[in-house]
Amino acid sequence: MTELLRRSLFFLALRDGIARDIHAERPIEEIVEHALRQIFSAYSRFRVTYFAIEQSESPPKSQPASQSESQPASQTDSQPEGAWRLRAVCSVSPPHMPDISGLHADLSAAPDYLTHLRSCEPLLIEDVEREPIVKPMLASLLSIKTRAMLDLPLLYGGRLYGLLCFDAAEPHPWREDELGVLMDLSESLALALRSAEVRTERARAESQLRTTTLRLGTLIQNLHAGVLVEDESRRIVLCNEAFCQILRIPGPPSSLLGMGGPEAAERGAPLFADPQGFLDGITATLQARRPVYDQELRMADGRVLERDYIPLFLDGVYCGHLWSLRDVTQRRTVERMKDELMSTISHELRTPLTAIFGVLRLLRAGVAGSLAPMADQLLQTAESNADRLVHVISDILDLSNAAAGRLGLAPRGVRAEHLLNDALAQWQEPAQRLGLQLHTEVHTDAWVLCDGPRIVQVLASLISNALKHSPPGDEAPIELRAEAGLAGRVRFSVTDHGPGISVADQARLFQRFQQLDSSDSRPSNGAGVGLALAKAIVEGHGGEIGVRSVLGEGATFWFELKAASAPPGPAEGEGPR
Amino acid sequence: MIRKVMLVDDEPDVRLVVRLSLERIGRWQVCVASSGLDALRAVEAERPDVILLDVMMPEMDGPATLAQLRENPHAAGIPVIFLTAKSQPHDITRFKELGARGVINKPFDPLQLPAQIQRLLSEPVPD
Repeated sequence: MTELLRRSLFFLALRDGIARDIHAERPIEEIVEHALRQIFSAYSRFRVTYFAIEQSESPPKSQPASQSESQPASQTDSQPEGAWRLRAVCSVSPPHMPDISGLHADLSAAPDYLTHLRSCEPLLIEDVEREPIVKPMLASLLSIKTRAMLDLPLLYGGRLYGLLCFDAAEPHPWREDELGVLMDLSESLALALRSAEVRTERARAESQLRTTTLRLGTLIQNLHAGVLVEDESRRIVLCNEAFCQILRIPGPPSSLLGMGGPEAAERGAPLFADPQGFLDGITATLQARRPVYDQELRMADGRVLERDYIPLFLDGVYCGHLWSLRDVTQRRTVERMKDELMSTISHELRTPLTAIFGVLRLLRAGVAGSLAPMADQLLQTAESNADRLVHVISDILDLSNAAAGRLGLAPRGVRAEHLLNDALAQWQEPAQRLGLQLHTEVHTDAWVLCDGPRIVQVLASLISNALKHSPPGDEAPIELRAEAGLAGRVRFSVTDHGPGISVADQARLFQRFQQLDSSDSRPSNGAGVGLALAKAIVEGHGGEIGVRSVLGEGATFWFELKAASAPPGPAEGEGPR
Repeated sequence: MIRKVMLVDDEPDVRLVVRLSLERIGRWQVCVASSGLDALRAVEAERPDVILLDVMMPEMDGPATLAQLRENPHAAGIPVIFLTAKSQPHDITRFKELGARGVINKPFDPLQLPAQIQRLLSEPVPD
């Protein structure tokens, strides 16, 4: 009884030691070896071994399916199926038994033993020669002088980490008291193995975090945009080289770290064309705490910067913000040069066209005397082509402006009906010349807040398109409609009875400079900008444009604009002009 | 009531078209200047009812000519309409801010030009 008490106290101390070793994060190999030697000192008749359980990647084909059915759910989740084997990681032996450190035991030949192992229950064998479960392994066991064995699973959180094995060179009846203390000990070792695994996982995560941080740091330091991050109390916590360069800050970015954001802003304010405006802008932006993009800042030295502000929230809690700066001086210069180029091209093309178009119109009006019918017809051809050229130039310029967000829309209140009538007035006569009819249907008395001439331009573009693709002399009229659309919008549509447009072509119809090819059912001419421009104008109004068509059944081009409560101001009574 | 229009444009072909349009369609008298400086020199003697002013001209462009006209007490009250191939939205806004009564884009329809001029002159003058 005294011996039992002494052993119990010994093992309690050993468990306490293992707990301290876990806490001290000692290497798992040392913890296991120390524990095994301590156990051996108490049970020096037995060989004490820690076996790791290993599995190959895929299960052997001969393995019966029934085995996996008997496997506990916890293992099914955490351990992949495959050939199981034991590896003696650490072993302490009495002199009359061989050292088995490093020994491998393949369990595929011992299915009953494997089944028991997977049940995660202790296995007590008094004499291996009389135990059927280890019969296939008997020769191997005897070769290492094992006659009795006690296998204790090292189990933590449903996961099997290995086996703590005791074996004796003679048959041995395992006692309840031995089993009790050793099972307690196996729990401690399983905890140590789990802790080691957690440490490994943590080290791997930390390594990944360091790698990610390095990558992001490299990215930020090499960005062309200047980046500065402040924490929730406006301390600067991150800054890159580009930020210092853009704001002409001498010294490395690290010189700003830890500095208060307000102090840095005060120091930098004189660099800006409007220093007080710069500081006030920061205050207002921080108060709003909403992302702000592409805010323009003019510098005292003439440069132009664009600034983004992005507040940072972690799990919904504000934890600072990011400023991003870009020097856009060069880009602005290029944009201005492009504008000037477009303006010059416009002038250079329009001036001779003014003379050509004007002379043709005057000749046809009889200013130089009456014309022979053939001469008039030829002049009409020249005039319509000059007119077409004028429109192409205008459309390209408009599209260029639209791309730069400078369509210069001037919204006023206009009746939907007036928009339709104005477009109709432009195309009534040309339609008649082609033997085609335009028919309007107005099913709404709604007003639209829009740039009237621009919307008429859209309608005119759609009508021109419809005329172009209608068979000359077609009796079915081209229909122009205005009606109530969805969600308080007004829907305009132009329907023709031409050859229709395939679904594939519909998708690219509104893209810039898109001409459907000659094999298409909808031959076209022009610069391919009319519909792209119509889209830009409609979208510039916050509207939507589209087409509905079936090959061989014509096409309906439509667009929707938000209706305004009548009459919105400033309103005009009779139409957009 | 328009009787006489002064046309200021450095392009002879454009001057021909505008002159024919105003004389034959509008039935107005037309005096022509080929530069801003010519216009400034002639305006007092000609006393036109309206000036059609090109924008892009060598030496003195349309806006500079307009500024000079506004400083001449004998010409300051004459309405000026820009006749321009610079028709970008921001150009048009700028011309109106300079005090132009209106802007007519090139190319224009010579058969409609007199009516266009009359319409612009009949619109209320902004404060």
